[in-house]
Amino acid sequence: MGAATRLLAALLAVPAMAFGAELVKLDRAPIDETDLISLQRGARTFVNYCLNCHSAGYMRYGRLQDLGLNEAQIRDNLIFTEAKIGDLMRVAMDPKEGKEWFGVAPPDLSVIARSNASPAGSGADWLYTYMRSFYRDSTRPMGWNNAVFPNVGMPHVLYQLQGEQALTTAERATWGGRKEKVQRLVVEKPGSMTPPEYDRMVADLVNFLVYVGEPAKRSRIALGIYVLMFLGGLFVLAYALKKEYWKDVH
Amino acid sequence: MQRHAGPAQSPLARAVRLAAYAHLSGVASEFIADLVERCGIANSFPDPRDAALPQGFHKRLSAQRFFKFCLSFRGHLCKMALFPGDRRNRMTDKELDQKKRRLLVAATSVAGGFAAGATAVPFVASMLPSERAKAAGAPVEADIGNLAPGEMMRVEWRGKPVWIVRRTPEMLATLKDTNDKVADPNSVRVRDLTPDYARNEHRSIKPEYLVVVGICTHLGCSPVDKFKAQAEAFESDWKGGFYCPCHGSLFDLSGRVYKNKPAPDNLPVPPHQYVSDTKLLIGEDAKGA
Amino acid sequence: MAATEKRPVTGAGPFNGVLTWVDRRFPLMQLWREHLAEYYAPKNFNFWYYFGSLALLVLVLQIVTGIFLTMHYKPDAAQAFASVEYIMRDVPGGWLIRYMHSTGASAFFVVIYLHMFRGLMYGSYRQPRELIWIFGMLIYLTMMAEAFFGYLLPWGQMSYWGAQVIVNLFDAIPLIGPDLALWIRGDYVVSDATLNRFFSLHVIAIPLVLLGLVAAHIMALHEVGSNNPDGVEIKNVKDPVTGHPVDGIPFHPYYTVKDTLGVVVFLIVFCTIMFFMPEFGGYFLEYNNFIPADPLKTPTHIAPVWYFTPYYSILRAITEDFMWVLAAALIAYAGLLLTATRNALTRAAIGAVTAVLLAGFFTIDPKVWGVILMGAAVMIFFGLPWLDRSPVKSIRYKGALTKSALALFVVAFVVLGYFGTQPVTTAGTVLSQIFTLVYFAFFLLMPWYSRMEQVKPEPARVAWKGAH
Repeated sequence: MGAATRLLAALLAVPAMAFGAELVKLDRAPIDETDLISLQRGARTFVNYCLNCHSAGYMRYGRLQDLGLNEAQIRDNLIFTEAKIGDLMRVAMDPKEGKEWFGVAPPDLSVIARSNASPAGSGADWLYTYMRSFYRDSTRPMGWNNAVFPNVGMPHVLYQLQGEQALTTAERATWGGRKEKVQRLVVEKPGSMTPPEYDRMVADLVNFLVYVGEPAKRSRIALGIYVLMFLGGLFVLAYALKKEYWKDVH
Repeated sequence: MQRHAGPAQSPLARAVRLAAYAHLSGVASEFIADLVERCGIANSFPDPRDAALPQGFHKRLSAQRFFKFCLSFRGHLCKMALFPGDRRNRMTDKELDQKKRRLLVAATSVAGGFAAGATAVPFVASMLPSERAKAAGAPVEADIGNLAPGEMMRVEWRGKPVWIVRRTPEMLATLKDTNDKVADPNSVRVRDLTPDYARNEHRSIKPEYLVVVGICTHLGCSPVDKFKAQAEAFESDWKGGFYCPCHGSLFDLSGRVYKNKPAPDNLPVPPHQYVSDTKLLIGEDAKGA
Repeated sequence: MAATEKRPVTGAGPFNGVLTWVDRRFPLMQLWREHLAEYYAPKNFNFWYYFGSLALLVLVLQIVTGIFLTMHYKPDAAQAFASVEYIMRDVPGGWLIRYMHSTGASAFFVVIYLHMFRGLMYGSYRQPRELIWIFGMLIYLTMMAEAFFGYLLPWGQMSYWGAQVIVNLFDAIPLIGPDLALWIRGDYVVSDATLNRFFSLHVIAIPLVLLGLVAAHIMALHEVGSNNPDGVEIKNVKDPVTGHPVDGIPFHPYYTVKDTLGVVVFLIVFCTIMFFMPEFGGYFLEYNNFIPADPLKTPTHIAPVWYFTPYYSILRAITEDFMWVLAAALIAYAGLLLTATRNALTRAAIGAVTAVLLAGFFTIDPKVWGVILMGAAVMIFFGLPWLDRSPVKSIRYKGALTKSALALFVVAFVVLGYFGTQPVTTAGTVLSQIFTLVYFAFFLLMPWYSRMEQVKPEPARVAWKGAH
């Protein structure tokens, strides 16, 4: 990653924009799903910045104990409302009002990391690129647009941290004498975080959202390993049994 | 039982027999027996199907394999080595097969049974209370800071009404009088109804506050509070307490049921603890309580 | 009468007494003998013969996991999506049961397609097994209905719009279409009413039908006896003493033991997928289905689940231009049919039908023909026992024509399936059209190529590497 210039979404040709998010090249999300500290940081970012408009309505606060926190820590650091530890992570925003204010009600983020997967990349990749692709656009009601999700209703909530980006368009010659437009996102006004710091924060947030999408993932994989080991053993027995009886036939 | 003369006890045969002994006693002998077999000395063992054994079948040594081995027909070969020439005592091919088959079927069935049991676990577990049920049944906080002496407040816990009564010293004094009127003054009849810390005359942690579930132990109606010590239609010498209008059960100011009334038990005391002097947490005991 | 004349049960050790008591009141031992211990199956079953018992296993798996899912699922448009997430997160072990059910649904179709392919290869649909094949095809249709109804239940975007599109297909039927679609939906669009009735159909109505059909399928099979990779009837050569087929072995213990091994191998594959990649790249659990259904927003790319995609491809391939190709193909086929018969009445009928169809091709909307051809693509399987005119049953003894035809058919099925998952492109449409023709040609030309080719002589006994 360069320091000043950030080549975030290299949109290869203008026609590609017609397909919207589908053909945008997504950056790989540098997440480690086993890193509990990263997940805790992500949880902190989520409840501080996202949980005002976006609910995670299928996730309970108490489940965050998976991240290595105890109930008291969750209550003290991650619950800012009257919600109890067993409650779902809901928000007070009325969907009808949300639609009025933003054009569309802010969606629930519980399974956002699963729904945004596509051939272009995993849901985590999409979210990672999305959160770093906001740019100033005076034609939009909120003043923000996004290279990964054109004309999104969401403003850039983290602009104070990332800074303000602009979408620059340049022409470039390619093969056969054609010209293609290359668009770049350039940070015009720096924020309180440096690009690597901001990237790290977004990565943690995305890591957390991946976890929220499927909290049972780690159990699933661990159990799978045991089950396959057992089935391997059972295979040996079943094979020996078959071979023994089929001696009669051969 | 006839025994015909066995093979001559050549040094070779003796060595083989020794190997068999060692085999039966455990570890290294398996390796030796393998060696013996591979060198073709196994010809002294009359069983022709020995050659049919897959190579390296017994390679890895372990107690489990050893016991399996003992029951297997190779274990039987050792038996033959120890008692040579006793053909007629030896099992037929078919019997050896049967033994092996029975063993394999048993082993596979045991493993399969284990698999079936393990698979049943998530299904059975799925019927246990879910997180949603547990959250709905979670402990409830009650703020008793504003409760005046002689007053009662109601709180809902697990769908049931919980009464918190701030008893005056006069109300507490009546408990001595009702001791012989109640059926179970020491709350020993049903252990689960009353936590250990409430197994006393005032049936609470602090004498001042009574915390009980407000459901009559007869058929589930909610009794009415009658705290004034005065003559009542249902009891001329009424000291104060609760009266259940459905079938006339009476409870004193500790929620203890009167004798000869339809209700069999005292009002249940839910697990609870004092988070602070003005906050009560109903549904959860203090640790070490 | 018969009850007291039956011999007591032996060989069950301590259970002899109980089993004898039952046997006197229920045909227990008779069933055991007829269907297991003395059901003689050919000894040369190969890999392709595992899939019948595996299909039974997956059916049981789906029913059991379905029962437990129904304990927590809410068939209400406002709560359905949330209830699935509730199962995934709040119900102990719920995530495992859900993944078993979703992986099982796709596994069911994989197993069934392989099971059907075995039938295609070895002529298992041939006389006297036509009814087994028909029951099997009915099971296939029922399974497709079950999967379709079940897919609406999670109430995701794909669920909703997939159901909307398919129910609208019924809308396209001339005259009765709109009323029929209204009746199916119970509303003007797919809604809560639709969800509730699809739930009822998926949970009880269709499973009951499925169980009945599976029982009939197995009973029909046991009545005639199994086919085998050589297509030779083992009942033709019986042992003079025992009366059992010489090339047959009792199902129990030989095939019970072999099928157990098959089950273990299947479980290894199944568990690998279920535990490590339950979404299977978005084919088993589609990504779009993690968005709650929104009647006001259609996803850019709706596709049915992978097991329906070959037929979906055929549906989409029927365009206005293609009607000309179809007309030409129809005329050519009518010509072929005319050469096959001298009967004046039959010829007249062929002519009349062709004329009517041709008229229809150019008057009725191609969209409707798409639906018709899609339906025909499924239904044509029913005709196989009568389309195959080869003197031999199994592909082992058939000629190069059939072997190529079958290979082409497999290619067509897979290619059509692939294009069904992709958005419409010109190249995709053209290829789908070509392979639609290949698909239908496999069936419709079979009476000719199965008879024309040079076949190898069928042996009297099964081919067996060991000594007979």
